[in-house]
Amino acid sequence: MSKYRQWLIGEIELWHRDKIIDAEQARQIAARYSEDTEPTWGKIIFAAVGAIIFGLGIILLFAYNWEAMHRLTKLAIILFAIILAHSLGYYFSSVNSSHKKIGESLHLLGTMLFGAGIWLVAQIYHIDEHFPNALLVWALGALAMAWFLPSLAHTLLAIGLLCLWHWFEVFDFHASNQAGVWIIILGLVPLAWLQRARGTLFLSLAMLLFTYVSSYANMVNHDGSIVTVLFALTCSYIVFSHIAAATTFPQSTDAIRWAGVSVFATLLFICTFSDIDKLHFKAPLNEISVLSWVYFLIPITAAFTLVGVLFLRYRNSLNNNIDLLEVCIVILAFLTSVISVFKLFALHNVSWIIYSLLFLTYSMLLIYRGTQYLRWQSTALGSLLLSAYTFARFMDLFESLLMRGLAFIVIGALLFVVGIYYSRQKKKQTGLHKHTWLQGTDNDR
Amino acid sequence: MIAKKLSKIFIVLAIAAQILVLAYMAGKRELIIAKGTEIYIRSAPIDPRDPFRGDFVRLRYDINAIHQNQTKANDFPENKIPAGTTVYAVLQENENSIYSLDQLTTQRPENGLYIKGRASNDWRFRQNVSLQHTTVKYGIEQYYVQQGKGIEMENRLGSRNGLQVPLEMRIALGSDGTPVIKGHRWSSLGIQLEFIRPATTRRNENEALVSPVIKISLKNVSDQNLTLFNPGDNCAFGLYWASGDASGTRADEACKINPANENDFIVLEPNAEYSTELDLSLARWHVQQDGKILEVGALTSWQNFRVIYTAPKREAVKDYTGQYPFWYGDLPSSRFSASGRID
Repeated sequence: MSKYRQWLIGEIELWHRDKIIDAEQARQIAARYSEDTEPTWGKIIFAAVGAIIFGLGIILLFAYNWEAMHRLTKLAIILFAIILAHSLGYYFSSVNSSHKKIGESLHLLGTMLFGAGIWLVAQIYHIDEHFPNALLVWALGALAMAWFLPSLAHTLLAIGLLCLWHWFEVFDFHASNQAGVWIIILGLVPLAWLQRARGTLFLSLAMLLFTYVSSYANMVNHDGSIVTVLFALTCSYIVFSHIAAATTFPQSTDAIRWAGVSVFATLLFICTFSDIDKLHFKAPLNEISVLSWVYFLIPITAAFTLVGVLFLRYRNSLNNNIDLLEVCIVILAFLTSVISVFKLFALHNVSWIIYSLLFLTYSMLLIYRGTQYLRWQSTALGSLLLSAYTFARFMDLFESLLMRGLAFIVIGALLFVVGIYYSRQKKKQTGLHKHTWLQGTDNDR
Repeated sequence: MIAKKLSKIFIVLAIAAQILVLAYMAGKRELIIAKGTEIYIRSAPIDPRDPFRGDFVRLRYDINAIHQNQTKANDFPENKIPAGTTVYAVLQENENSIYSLDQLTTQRPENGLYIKGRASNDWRFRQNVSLQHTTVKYGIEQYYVQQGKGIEMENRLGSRNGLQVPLEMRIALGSDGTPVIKGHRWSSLGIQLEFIRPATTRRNENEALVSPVIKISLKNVSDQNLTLFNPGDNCAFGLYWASGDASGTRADEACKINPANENDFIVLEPNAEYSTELDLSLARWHVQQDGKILEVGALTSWQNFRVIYTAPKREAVKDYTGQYPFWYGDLPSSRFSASGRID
């Protein structure tokens, strides 16, 4: 039981004893604030780090590679260690056990030893095959355990290993590695969703962006259509974050939104540069492979579908006009990228102007939303984007030092005003809450 | 209840899968070690270190670098293949169970000995592999040794300027061409290349052309006497390209060997050396490039060569009556450029 729950249960008992609440109300309050389903990160991190360091220790121990020890003895030791760790893990994870976290840690140790075993077999038999395959096999072992236990530590291990695997495939071996994309779509994202783990969901979605775009980049030889794919994916995330509010896991909204917004804002900023004028297919359209077309169209279709679903079915998920305006900006940026990717529309030469306008509007929108609803993250991001834009335009927009100086003064003053407005809003809201509470207690008296 | 039971079954299956993966990896190779055909392939080792797996010796075999004329016709359309394509190196036996490449094919051979490998990526070609630069990996390019033994092996191998002794890897071949390293032995003959005089850089066409003179030494590193054969004008030695598209092919005009006489046979006692000087300005060592016959000294400094000692075929020396065994096979020197650089 967490210390907060212990405190609450103690308080409820006091209220019941002082007859402020009756037994039924005490039970209802206790049920309303049941044990937090969010993972206890401290325990997970310590258990995971312990298991990882122990596993690495085993790997290093075998790295010495005693000639005196027969290869079959080495194999037997590692297999026995895996079986022992998992068996103990299984025992401690049983329904009646009060040490389930120890059970999960032991399973994690077993999976770490499985990874050590892969490298050990490679060492014993001098195998020098395509080494990312070892990371993939290890990751799949961790992912299977993450699904069936279920275990957040295994999910995080799987994310790390899949990330490494994809990195080596794409950057060291220049492979498009589509398998990575599908493992994340089918294996990781649903798992994070079912585990109701926001952090893991954020990581999985970030991984999906990374794997999809890097795979596609290798497929099309790094042409400008990557930007369209990224806009489509981030548009899908931001739109889906509103739909997610109406699902059985409404807490996922922020995780999905931040995965989309952080990349979307950065991408939009990059596209405001007039130097980046080749955001279109390099090759003639009839020379683009079917596979590239498929991977180009999947995120675009997803974005259009989600936009349709949002406006036709979940229109009420948009809380206010600010949400609506944000979605419109995102959709406009996405549509601009879709049109400019085809050279025949000749939009790619001027698209940076559209992106600049959208970027400025989006920055202002984030600032407004942050100050209006007291979301400091939104205010900070909006201010950061606006400042970045001013610095970036310092050289290429204003020739005269006078104009440059004025631009800085205007933006600086604007941010100063934003700060004051944010503080006032916060004070006002705090005062309002205090007043309401006092009123309530006065009335009671 | 059923869900919990199913969940337990799946957990056990996931654990069993981890064990089975390792058992399969090890079992497949144990089977090859026990039943596979044993061969030797010569390799040049380089000694790196793996932070998680201790010392290992990186091996480079001749069959890792394939020249276009060693590939089977029609197997490689448009002179390139996608990186990662499975290829088969068909092997031929030389001497002392040492095997070398006969030809490279993409079709699994129906008979004979072959190693399965994958065409490896080259950064210049990204997802395709050009035939003029085909490199193939067979999964036997790393040899793990006990920590500290890597340095010992490196010392025995020798430095690029010193005596180099090739490693001969003992490989077990599975029926599908999967190779597994079983061990190693050292060649009984080492080779050393030294410059007596490097080529000088000419500032203009009027300056005299100076080609390098090199000294090649062969040393018997075994504990028994060995017989070498060097007929005519150092005809046992050949100059080979070691860079560019022609890498691995012969650069000089091969000698015409007259019938062997007694002086052509050299008996080396253990630790004894046989040295000879090769003056690359002689017509015997001139190379052909772009249809022109050129002296090595006239080539640019980035063009590299190797000198290879080629022992006689068993057939060629069958009438030799000496009592000591021949050393058989090819022994390449370090890579060098005319300007005096040795890699």
